[in-house]
Amino acid sequence: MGTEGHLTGNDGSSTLRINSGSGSVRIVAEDRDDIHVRGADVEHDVVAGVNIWTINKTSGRVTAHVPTNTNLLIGTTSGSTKVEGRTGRTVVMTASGRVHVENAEEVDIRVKSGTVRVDQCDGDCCIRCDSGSVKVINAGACDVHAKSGRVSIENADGDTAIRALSGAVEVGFAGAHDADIEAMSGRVTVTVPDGVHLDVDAETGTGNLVNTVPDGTDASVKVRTSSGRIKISTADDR
Amino acid sequence: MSVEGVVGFSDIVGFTEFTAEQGDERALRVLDTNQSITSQNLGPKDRIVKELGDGLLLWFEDPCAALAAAVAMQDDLAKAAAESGAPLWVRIGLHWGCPTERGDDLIGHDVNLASRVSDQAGPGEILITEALANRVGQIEGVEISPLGPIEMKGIPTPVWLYRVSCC
Repeated sequence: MGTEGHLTGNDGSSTLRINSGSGSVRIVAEDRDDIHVRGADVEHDVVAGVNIWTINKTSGRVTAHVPTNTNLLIGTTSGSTKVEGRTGRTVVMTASGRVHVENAEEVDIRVKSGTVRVDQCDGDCCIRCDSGSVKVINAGACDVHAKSGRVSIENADGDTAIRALSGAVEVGFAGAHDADIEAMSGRVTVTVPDGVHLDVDAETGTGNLVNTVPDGTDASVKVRTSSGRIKISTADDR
Repeated sequence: MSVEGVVGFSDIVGFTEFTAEQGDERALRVLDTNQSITSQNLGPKDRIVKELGDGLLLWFEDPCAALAAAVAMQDDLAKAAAESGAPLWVRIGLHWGCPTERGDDLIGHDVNLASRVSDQAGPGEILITEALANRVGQIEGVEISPLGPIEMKGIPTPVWLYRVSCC
């Protein structure tokens, strides 16, 4: 079963909504003007001048090829979600399953159980993960909450807030940005570029604190952890 | 008798872990702070229906007032957390519906749904259903952005959720 449709705009004003039960979802954003869906029917509507494409499916795999910069609103019960290519605002909510977004304007990902990976997110990167690890390679401002599992943000280029119950937290910054990190247990590692001077406010209950970044006001870093080591350093010290 | 209004759930994320690590006394203070801040931000016709461990079941008559109260609660909780150092990680879910009164209590599908909505939220976050989003329209200083459909345990049809944030 497949459906093709024509998207009148390729400027990020089109939105694909997927409501899927069990089964994997794969989105491929590429240089094209139309939408092609395999594994489900797609309905089209225009709301306030915006193309809305909707897929409702109870089970089975769905693959959709969409124009670059399409906004995505994806809700699934279980199964992996993979978004390839450049997308607009990308929202994924799933009860269970891996989520991998390659390159989005901004993301909001909520996973009850499963790992999250974002390779590139230009703007706000909001992630909620109850059980499973979170890995972000490049992002703007990050807002991440993980109940259990490691949180790793390699290159954040914006203010970042992280709440983690258990599991290590590692954040690397691309510039001078504020960080607000609270962890119940698990070590916290913050890395900033050389030359950045930080206003650090860090406390740990039972672990030790290592801060090798010069004092200053380029950015503020606040870290709280009940148990676990806190390390704040420059890229050179790593 | 059923009543029409906003059902809300708030709960403290990681409270079990916090209690295990920090002890009952600190945990009790966190509970008291949450309840106190919640009460302070309720209107005259709003109420805390009941306590559920580290959670609160809330009732609001007016959808816009419910949103404004929830935003104010999160703001006050963030300030209290900064002052006390305790992780007041409260998440809030709100839904417009017609729950059934049972004495002072509220029961029914809409109550269950509001509870599931709060489960989807992260610390410091407010999520609302489409039913409520459609009733509040535009509120100055508040942004409501769609998150998409989500299937929730025990709820037969997918529910569209929206994130509420200050702008």
